[in-house]
Amino acid sequence: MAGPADLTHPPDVRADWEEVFSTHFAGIHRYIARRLSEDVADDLAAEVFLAAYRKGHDPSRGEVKPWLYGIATHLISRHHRSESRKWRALSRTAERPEHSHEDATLTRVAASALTGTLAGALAGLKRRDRDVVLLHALGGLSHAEVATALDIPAGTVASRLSRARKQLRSALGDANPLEDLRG
Amino acid sequence: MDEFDLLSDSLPDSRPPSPEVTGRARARLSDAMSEPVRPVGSRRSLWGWTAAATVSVVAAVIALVTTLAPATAPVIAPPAHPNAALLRLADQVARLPEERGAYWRRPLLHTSLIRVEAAGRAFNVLSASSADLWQPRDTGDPVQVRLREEYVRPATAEDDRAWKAAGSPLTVQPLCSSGTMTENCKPMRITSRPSACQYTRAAEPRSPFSDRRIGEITLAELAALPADADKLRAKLHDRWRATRDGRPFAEFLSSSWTLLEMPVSPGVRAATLRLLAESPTTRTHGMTTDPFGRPGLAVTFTKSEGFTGQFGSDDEVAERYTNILDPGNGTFLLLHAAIAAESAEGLTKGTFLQHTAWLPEKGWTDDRPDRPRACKLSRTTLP
Repeated sequence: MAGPADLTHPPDVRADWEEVFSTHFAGIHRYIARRLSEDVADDLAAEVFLAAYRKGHDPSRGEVKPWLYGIATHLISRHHRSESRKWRALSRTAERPEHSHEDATLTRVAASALTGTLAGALAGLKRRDRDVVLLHALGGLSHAEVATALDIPAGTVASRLSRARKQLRSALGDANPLEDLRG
Repeated sequence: MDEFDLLSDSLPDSRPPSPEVTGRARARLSDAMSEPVRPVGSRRSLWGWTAAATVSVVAAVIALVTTLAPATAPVIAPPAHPNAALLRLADQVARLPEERGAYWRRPLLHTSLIRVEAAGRAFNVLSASSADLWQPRDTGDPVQVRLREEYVRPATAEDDRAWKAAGSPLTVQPLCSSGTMTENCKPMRITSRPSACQYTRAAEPRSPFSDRRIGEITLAELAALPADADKLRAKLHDRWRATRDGRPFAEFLSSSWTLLEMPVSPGVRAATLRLLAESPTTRTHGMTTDPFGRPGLAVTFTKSEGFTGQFGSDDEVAERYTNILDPGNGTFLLLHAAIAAESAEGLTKGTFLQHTAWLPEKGWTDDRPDRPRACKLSRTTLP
């Protein structure tokens, strides 16, 4: 969808948006569901695409993917108290739902064991730091894409990630728990 | 694997959206694309929208004309000026007589809403401090500035009941977000007795109206400002060129609201209001009432939404800002008032979080400042 507008050959808007929807809906839904809940994601993911369509994509401001995740993050921010409650609750229970993807590897088992600790640390992050972390960790966006999504400088993304990394590491006891488990 | 990979792996995953969910979302998007409304947004956005939507809009307009066209040619009224209320206020201020007096007085009361706890009960208090400036017309007379803590008291009747239920303690502990440094979260004393008074009193050849937004400006320069909006714009343009701070002139011009908090004539104030009314960042929000029950015109001159502040243990409560102008003379009643844009624990959306109020004694007077009693003379300049 990027590139200059061709005024002599109008694009097929419906086809363009169908492609955008097909490419990104599941990813956006998953991102929202992991931050809030599947029920909320069912509705909010649709809102993301409606908002995107009504707002209009400006190709000069980057690719579609970070733009959509930016809109999703903005909509998630309206539910920030629910999200904070979720991370706090998870820090207490630290149970993974049965439907989560199976994880036979040591890495995932180790990570699972740390769910409560990390969820608690996540609850303690400032919202703007948490947005950057979760766009990167759950949305899979690169630093540059996070910057585009949130419309902030790349340097700000780096500093927020650095600050959040320190807090997560501190929550983990300044040790690499994976190394501990492997050793 | 780093901390973020670990995070991704450790947080619960979700099921993919069901075909029904996906279908509903796709249908909603499809419906939106069929709406006869042009999407708002950047002109550089997908132009195809414009093409598709234009057809719809044209069709809709034709339908409207077909069904609603009057027998005679319609008279299309020009749209109302978005800041018409500000222009009306400017007209009114321009008719005010020149103000006279030996001193220009600016008594400010800064108030903050703070979440505190005592005996296991949480409630809100208002903490207020004042800054009273006496600026002489004659620069040979002393300038006097007095700062004072005014009171800390329960914010509402309900908060008062909570405080009393906690045993009416003299000391309460602010609720602060995690990570707040101890010295920024010290216990507070509930009191209605003013304290921590200090003042300065000395003749100052230079005006204190140094303002980084429009550059330093003396009383003489203020007195020489033109009362015509175009001439005032030109004068401000000269100052903008002199400041060389790199801001676009439009942004500099939107800072001219600061003239409304300075001792300028009603004519200059009116011209300032007219310039601000034409500024693209000015928004007039209509008549409202300030926390002291005074009616005034709510207006913002720069970006006023999308901010967050700390309240209690919540470190990011959405807030917006507003100013309230005196409908009688165009000066401020309330400046930089922060209002909760969402509800939080102990806080209702729409509540004033902090503000600076101009007290009724403001303006020119022939009174002269008495030396404050029970107040410490400061050797350093007070802000």
